[in-house]
Amino acid sequence: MRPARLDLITSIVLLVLGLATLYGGWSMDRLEVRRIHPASIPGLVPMLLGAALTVSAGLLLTQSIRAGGHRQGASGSTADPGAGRRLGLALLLTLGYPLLLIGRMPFELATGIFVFAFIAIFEWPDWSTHQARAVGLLTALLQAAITAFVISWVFRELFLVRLP
Amino acid sequence: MNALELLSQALLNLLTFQALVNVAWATLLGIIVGSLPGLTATMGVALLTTLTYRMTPDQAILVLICMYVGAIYGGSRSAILLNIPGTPASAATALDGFPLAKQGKAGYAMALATAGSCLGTLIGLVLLALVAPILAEFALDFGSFEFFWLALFGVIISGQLTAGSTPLKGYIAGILGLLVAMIGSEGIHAHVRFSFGIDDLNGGIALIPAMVGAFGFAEVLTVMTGGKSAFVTDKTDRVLPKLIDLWRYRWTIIRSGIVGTGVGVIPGVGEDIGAWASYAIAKRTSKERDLFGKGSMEGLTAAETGNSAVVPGALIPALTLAVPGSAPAAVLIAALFIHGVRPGPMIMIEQPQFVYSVVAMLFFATIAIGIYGLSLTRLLLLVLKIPRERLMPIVFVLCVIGPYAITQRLFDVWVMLFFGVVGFLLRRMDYPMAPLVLGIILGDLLDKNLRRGLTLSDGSLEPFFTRPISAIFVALIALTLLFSIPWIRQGSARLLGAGRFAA
Repeated sequence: MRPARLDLITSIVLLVLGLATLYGGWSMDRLEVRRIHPASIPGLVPMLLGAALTVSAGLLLTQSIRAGGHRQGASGSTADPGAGRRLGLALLLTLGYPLLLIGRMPFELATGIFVFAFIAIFEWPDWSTHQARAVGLLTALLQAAITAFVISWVFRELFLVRLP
Repeated sequence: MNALELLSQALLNLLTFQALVNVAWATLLGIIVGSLPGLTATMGVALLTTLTYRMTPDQAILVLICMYVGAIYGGSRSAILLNIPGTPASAATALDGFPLAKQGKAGYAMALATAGSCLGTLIGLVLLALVAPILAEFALDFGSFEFFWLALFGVIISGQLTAGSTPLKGYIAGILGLLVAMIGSEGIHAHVRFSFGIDDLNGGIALIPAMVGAFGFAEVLTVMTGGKSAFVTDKTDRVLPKLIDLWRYRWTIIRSGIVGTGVGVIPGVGEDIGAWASYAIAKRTSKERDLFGKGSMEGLTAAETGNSAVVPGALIPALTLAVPGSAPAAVLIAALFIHGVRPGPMIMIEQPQFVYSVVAMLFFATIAIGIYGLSLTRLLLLVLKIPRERLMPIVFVLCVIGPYAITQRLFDVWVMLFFGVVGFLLRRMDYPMAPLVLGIILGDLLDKNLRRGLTLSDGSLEPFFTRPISAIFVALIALTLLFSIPWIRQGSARLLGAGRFAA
């Protein structure tokens, strides 16, 4: 997506966040029952920050409209086409490890699976021959096992952490 | 006890086997972290904080400072050899370091970078020892009004200087950081704000998981999204700097050291700006300015001296005002609190020896980078050959388990993930991370002191503008904001240019 278009979308999100914070601060409990000084209400700074964010987002919105962000389409990026695929894979692996693996199996196993999968998936295109693939998978397995064992041992035995 | 005695005592205290071993491994690890593109000093210090929380406070801080100094220096390796700064601090180093490497002088460029880094840190630590006690004493006069403006000034100047051509994005990042700091129980009436019924949010967002996410996980995503880098092999040239070169650039080194330390003192600005400022001044005053950008040894020395001098500089406000001069210094402040050290104006009264201990730690770290830099040049080249596909999964496992280890609750892992994804997106859209971090760390200071000040003045804003130090801060903030308006900036630049031409 083009920068001006991205700024336009971000500024709208920030504008909503700013207004929501402003309202959140305004409607926050003023603790009258505790007879606090009216100038020390908990919502004061959130209100000011909400206003500041709203103004800043408004300025960004104006700038992006001037730069033609509202006329640009959602596509049109000149970035590396493989970057999106790599980002998707990286997000899938990095979010899958803590959200799907950790807590459902021993930490060592979860870590081993994650490290092995990460290396295998990202290095797969570089392995052009059967031999390279076999060596790559074997070394990935070895690294996964060593990483899982060493990190688990250090945190469990040295730092006395009860691993998830 | 006077300053010299405290410093001697601090140096002697570090002459133990345990301390020397810690200096040796932590500095080496820092150099490795800094030299690997994708691993930054902030990430290194944040991850190591999670590994040192069971150490004694002095050893833990020693390890973190060695990591910080080592990582800032280590960034020069990949800047010179790959034209990719290992850390943002080394971006200016790449301008002349890479052309030197292409000329077959990579070894000598690294030697100069080592000498520059050592001398820069030494200049900075002398200034730290001299300035910190004075600043701490000066800060004793700060009341709520001044602390409020200081916090606001920190976020604004950081937003202005780190956001490049769009200060607005820097300010937005700062406001977002301040908003994050509003989550959880506030410091005056213990009222819980913006917790949305989630019990884990009652205590607020902890800095370490947020930093590990914004600088660790976000970096993993950035590195894996980018293309692969080419490697420039080192020619077997000399790896020791010639004294004659250092003597020839002595004024550049001294000036860059002072500029770097000065930039370090400015809240949340950091090493990259220190390097660029030193580089720009060296270029303006150099007799060989045509060589800058094409392999100038003076340019390389200025950049490396400048970025390394920021480290002690950034610790000056961190120790005396609890306001970090850079992102790694922000993590160090969090680590200090974890280990029971309370930075701020009272430090010279409560723990006067601590400031000198930090000076001694920096001194030992400097010696270590000097030894490693000059002796392990070829060995460290091998580190740069580790493929990202092999390194990043290990980094990510540490990003997950590190924040978890401190409190042993999975909530901190979710915080890390959230800040990682948001940090990645913000960075892709050119929002700087330093103001965000500074906002998180200064939010509480700003919030409490504004409301405390208003209570003291019975709701009047007058003391916020009429007290002398407050008035100076107000003027600085107004000027910073004015100069971020494009037509005012361009107009003043034109006026200055015309003035110089007339003179």
